[in-house]
Amino acid sequence: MFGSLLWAFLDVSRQILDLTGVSKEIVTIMQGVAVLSVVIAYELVRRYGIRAQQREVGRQLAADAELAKAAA
Amino acid sequence: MTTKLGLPTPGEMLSPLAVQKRTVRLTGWRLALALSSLVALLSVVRIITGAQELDSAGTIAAAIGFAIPLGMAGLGGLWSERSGVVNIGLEGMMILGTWGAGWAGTYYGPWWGLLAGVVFGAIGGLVHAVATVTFAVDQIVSGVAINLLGLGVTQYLSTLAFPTQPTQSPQIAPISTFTFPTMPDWIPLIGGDSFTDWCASIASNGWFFVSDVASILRAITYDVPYTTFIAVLLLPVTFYVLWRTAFGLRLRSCGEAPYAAESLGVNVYLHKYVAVIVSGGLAGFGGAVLATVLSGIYREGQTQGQGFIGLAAMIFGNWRVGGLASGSLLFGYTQAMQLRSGEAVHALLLVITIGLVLFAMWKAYRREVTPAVGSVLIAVAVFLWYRSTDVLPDQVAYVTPYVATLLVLSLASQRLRMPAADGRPYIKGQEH
Repeated sequence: MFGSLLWAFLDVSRQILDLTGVSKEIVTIMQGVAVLSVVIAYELVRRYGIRAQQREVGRQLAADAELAKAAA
Repeated sequence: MTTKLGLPTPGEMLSPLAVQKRTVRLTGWRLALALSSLVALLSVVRIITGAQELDSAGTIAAAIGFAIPLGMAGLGGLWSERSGVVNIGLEGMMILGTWGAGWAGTYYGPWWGLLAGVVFGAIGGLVHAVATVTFAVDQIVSGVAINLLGLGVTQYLSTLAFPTQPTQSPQIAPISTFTFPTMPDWIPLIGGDSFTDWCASIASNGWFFVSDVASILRAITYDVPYTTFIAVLLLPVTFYVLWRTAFGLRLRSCGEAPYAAESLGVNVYLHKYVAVIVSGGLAGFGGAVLATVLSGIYREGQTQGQGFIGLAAMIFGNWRVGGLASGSLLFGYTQAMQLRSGEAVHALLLVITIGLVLFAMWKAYRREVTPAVGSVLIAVAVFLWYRSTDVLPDQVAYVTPYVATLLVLSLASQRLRMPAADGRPYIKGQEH
């Protein structure tokens, strides 16, 4: 939804940019960069999430082990 | 007959039952037989219809010329996909190659242009490799992004490099061509008269088979750009590197089973990187040939989706070098046909009819009823079309490459086998 809005905005701004002296080819470059950076950002967030989860699990296990040791 | 480990013994692996029964080994004799029957088929149709342009030297030279960019893009796809990375971005890398050739070709000369095309394509490949290998993102999405980037970056750079007319470059100096030299008199058969003229005179006689072979010889010995030789040489080189060296075995194992390769100590990331960068370089070379040799100029939108057709040629060729080469030649031939008279395209209908009838006979011999009947029906339809018209409209000629792509892919798709891990993201040490 937001993606398509951004796309439409970029496509439309092509004409305006031409009038204001910014080269309109920037639009295609921006679209390409946007696609690439979005998928890369998703992947990085996913990897960070996995790592955070693992850290959390590790901390939990360590805490449990401490508790068990204390109880014994 | 299995060993203690439960592995099949070498004898078992080689027994004909263990291998798929229906594979036909392609030997030199079979290849020669297939080629000469193809030439004979074209020759028969040429004599029946009188359409000399069906396999004239000009047509064949044009077909080879058009096949080169396709073949190079397909070869790039082969490298990349054999290492397990789907490369939709070939088109974008090809565009980068055309621009590189246009820019360096204009300012420094055509050979520097070709080199720049390769380098630009390889940069596109590098971006694809960073996204798909390092970050393991979806390979199709990354490829689409490369296509967008290739188009946008070249358009933008054009405004900087060619300020007067940003959609195209000035004329690039032509690349030198090779013509078979005149041999000394004492050599029998080809001595004395220029060999290429001799071929042309035989070709113009219109004899069965002999003239067709002569026109093929003329096409490959007269006025051939050196890039053609480089491109053709790259096919066996690729085959040797990928199928006959340890490096190639490792690279292909990354495309079949990356985690198994990893467990044996193969650096999967490195091999994928090399494969995708080489892939970009080859696609860039294809684009550079398109700009330097075929048109002598860089023009915006010049590739016209040839990167995708190259990819189709590679799939049609079953991810193999030989199949890829014949696929590119087929597509190159249909493209060359567009430039010929409607009469020749019309005669092509008869070629298709006879080809389908032969195919049906082959299928009937194998007792596969449905394909046989289907081919006969299509053959009858094509033949009726041939009989009821005299000349095909231009649009039919334009659409032939795409129809050929569709037909070939839908007919051949049953037997195709792509690398097992093609398109799957690989993250080191994360097998599930």
